[in-house]
Amino acid sequence: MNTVKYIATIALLIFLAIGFAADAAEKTKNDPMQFARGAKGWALNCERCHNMRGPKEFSDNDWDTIVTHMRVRANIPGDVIRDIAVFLKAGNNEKVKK
Amino acid sequence: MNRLLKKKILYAPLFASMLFIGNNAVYAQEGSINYKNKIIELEARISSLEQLKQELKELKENLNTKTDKIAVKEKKLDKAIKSISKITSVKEGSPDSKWAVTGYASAGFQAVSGGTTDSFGVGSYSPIFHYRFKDWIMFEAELEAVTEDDGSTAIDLEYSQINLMLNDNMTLVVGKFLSPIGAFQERLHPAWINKSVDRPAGLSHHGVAPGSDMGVMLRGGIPLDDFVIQYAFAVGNGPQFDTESELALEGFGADNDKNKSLAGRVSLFHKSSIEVGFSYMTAGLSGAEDTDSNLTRSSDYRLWGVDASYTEGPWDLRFELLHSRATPVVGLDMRERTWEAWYAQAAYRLAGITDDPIFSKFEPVVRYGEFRAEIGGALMDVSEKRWNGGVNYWMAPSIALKAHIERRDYFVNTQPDETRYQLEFAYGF
Repeated sequence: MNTVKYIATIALLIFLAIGFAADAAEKTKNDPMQFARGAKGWALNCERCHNMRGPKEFSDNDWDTIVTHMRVRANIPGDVIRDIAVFLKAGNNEKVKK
Repeated sequence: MNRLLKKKILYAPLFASMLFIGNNAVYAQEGSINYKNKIIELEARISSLEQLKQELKELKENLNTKTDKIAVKEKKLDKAIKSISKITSVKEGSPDSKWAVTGYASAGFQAVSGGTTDSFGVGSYSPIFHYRFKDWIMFEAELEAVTEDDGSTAIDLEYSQINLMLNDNMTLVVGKFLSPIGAFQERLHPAWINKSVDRPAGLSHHGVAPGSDMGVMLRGGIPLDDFVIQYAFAVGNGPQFDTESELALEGFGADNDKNKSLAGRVSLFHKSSIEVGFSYMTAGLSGAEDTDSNLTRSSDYRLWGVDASYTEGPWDLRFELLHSRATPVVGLDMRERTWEAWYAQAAYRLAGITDDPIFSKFEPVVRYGEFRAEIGGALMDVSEKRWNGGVNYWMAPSIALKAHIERRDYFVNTQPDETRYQLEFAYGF
């Protein structure tokens, strides 16, 4: 019975944490400084392990997926990752065409 | 008679002229009527022309109005088309579910001193599949396909994990994951990231530290002023004895004892690109040399490690030390085993000193490391000192040509030393 309570409590905390994560993602939308912070975060974090990949190497969708992978692999905070994603997506091929 | 004649002669022209005038008056009266009629007719024509002109003017105005309306409609249509295309692009760019295939591959040539046949080889082909739902969940898996010496193909599941982003600073990982111990195994081993061709001594699949584990992991990064505190804590099935001298360090699908492994790494990353990390792991071991099948474990396994790096600009300086020990459970007739591996590495991109489009892409690399594996205090034949030196040429940020020399000096005299001349093409995609 105690195990069930323990699991239920953890599950509740997890769902609350997911809610906070979604809220944080909404707050950073339309932030004009995201691009600048993203460029800085890109230069600082990528080189910790490998060469910096150019924004034009991947599409918007690919970047969203890849930066999420790097968020987990390199323990980069979520807000920093969202900034980096904004920077990379602003400089890739899709945007250049527009 | 004469007078009468004279009168006649005199009045005759007068009469004739009067007659002529009278006729002309009649004619004049008739012409005036005609002119009036013509004038009336002309006036009617002019009136009709003016009416026609008015109608044409109205038609022109209508035409202009319609042209303006058409122009307005065209503008609206253009605007609508543009807004639709924008909506379409936004929809295409941000679906809730996204996926990508990345990974790396390598191929090369190696000549080895001491009689071993020189060979071409494929290092590996390692596709990584990522599936992401919003900013919350990501599933990712890496396969490693390798061509063996006998021509057969070996495919391994390097990791297969579900990442649940709990908040900006914490992620829950479930499944088979790369071990968070140290820096090289988890983050630096892909061919396009590894500065040399081979791994450092002792950091291969049968080395000092686990390659992967199966279980649950909490990890993330917490900003603190100019630092980011990074952490990863994992609970898993843990390693097992493979042979007398080696541990099987890849993640197992089931636990062969009742002891789960506990592993973790905490690091401090400063904005000056300096990172220092500490690793620890404890687990129970069973497998080879077990004398009692009822035992939950035959040895206690402990690992600790420290790693440091400086990665500012063209520099890539790294150090890593890992030490592990398997201590037999009291009462068992087993020998203690220890493994220790360390390496130091320096790499420098010439882009730091030149803008030349060719020379700036070269990167000299040097690495030195040692690996000692002991059973009961005696060194095993895999123990070695390893020198690596070479040059990488970066065709793109993730595509490198490597030309390296590797010297392996074994501690045990029965094992012949080797010098390896290596060429490798590494591609991260």
